[in-house]
Amino acid sequence: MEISSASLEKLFHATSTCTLQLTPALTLTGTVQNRTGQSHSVISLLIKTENMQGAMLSLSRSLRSDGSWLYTGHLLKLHEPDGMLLVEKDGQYYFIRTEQKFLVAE
Amino acid sequence: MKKHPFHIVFFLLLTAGSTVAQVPALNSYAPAPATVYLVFDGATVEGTLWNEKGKIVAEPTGFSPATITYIHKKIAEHFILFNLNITTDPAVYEHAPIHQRTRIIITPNGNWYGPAPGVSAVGSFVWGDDTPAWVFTDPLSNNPLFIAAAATHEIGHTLGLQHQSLYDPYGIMISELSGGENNIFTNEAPLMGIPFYKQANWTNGTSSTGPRNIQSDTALIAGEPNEIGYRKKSGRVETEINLSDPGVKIETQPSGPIELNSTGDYTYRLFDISGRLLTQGNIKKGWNQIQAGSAANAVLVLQWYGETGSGSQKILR
Repeated sequence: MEISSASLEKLFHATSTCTLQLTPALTLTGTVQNRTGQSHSVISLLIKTENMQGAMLSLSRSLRSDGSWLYTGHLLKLHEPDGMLLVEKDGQYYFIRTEQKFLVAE
Repeated sequence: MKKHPFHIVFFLLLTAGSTVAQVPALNSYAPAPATVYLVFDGATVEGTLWNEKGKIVAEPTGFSPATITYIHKKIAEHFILFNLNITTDPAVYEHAPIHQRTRIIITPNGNWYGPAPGVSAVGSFVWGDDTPAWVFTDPLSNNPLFIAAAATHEIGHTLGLQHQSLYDPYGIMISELSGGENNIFTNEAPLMGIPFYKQANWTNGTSSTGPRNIQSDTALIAGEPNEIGYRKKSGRVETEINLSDPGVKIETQPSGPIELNSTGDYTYRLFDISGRLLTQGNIKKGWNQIQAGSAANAVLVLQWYGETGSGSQKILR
């Protein structure tokens, strides 16, 4: 699933309820549970989804050496077989399906 | 309600407070900014991916200072190569860079999660949101050695490591966690496999992501995105030649096995210059020989540590 950096950035300005268009037919709706940032250069966000069985979306925004933002994160619900990992390729962000054992390990 | 004399109430308050104060403030390598905080005295966790069902209250272990010190020491030994501080001091954790720290909550049970000796979010060391990893001591029979091994394993996950796995010659996974198999040639197991019953160490091996994916544990821990690096000594990187290091004297060896004399017993690890672990084992007092494989015309780094000290030396071949 292709995600624009603008829509990711919008999440970091949400105060409570927020949405993220994953596909034309699927919009993630959730509430911000936690926001942390020791400095301006790294901010992390945790969003609990309301329409995806309470799965958690974790996002981090960090400042790269060229001054641009790098977004990393994942969407997962514990004990489900799969999760979604946010990756960047050639400046474009994607959520890719990943076995959850590579995201949460025992 | 019966009233108690003041001095009895005061005594009860004092002893109740001492339960928390029993955790000794330990640091394995205080100069390092990157920090792993071992939590033994309970924690309340909110606002993390673990909180799907709300707040988690982790009970204290109730371990004695001696047990905590032992567990800390065993964990710290596995990270002696790295510019990383293993601490039990919450103040040290609070002052560590938020994107270079993690906490391992060691607590009796993980009923909120399920039957497992521990769980962690892979790569969470750099997330910057204080997501903890967990070690559950009841499934580990409260065995300090098992707890230390499990904690080291979970720390490895937070630093981005996947499991070390075993595959057959056709690439079919035999075991996601290697180290449990019978092997008459070695009594070693990977820390990222099953680290409980054999001498466990960081390894190079096939990871759970696929039979062709070789994971160098040490290189991944030290490298990006953790950017921990290797430990420095007296302002010099340990991989520099330092003949003043006591204990081990390496004879010049342009090729063949590395020959050395040791004044004591040490554990050693041999790396290539990129930090890839080539081999590891034990050095005994006296003359030793280490097989360096096919590494020729290369720069190698031998690191050793033991009860009497530690050191490292670069070897040019």
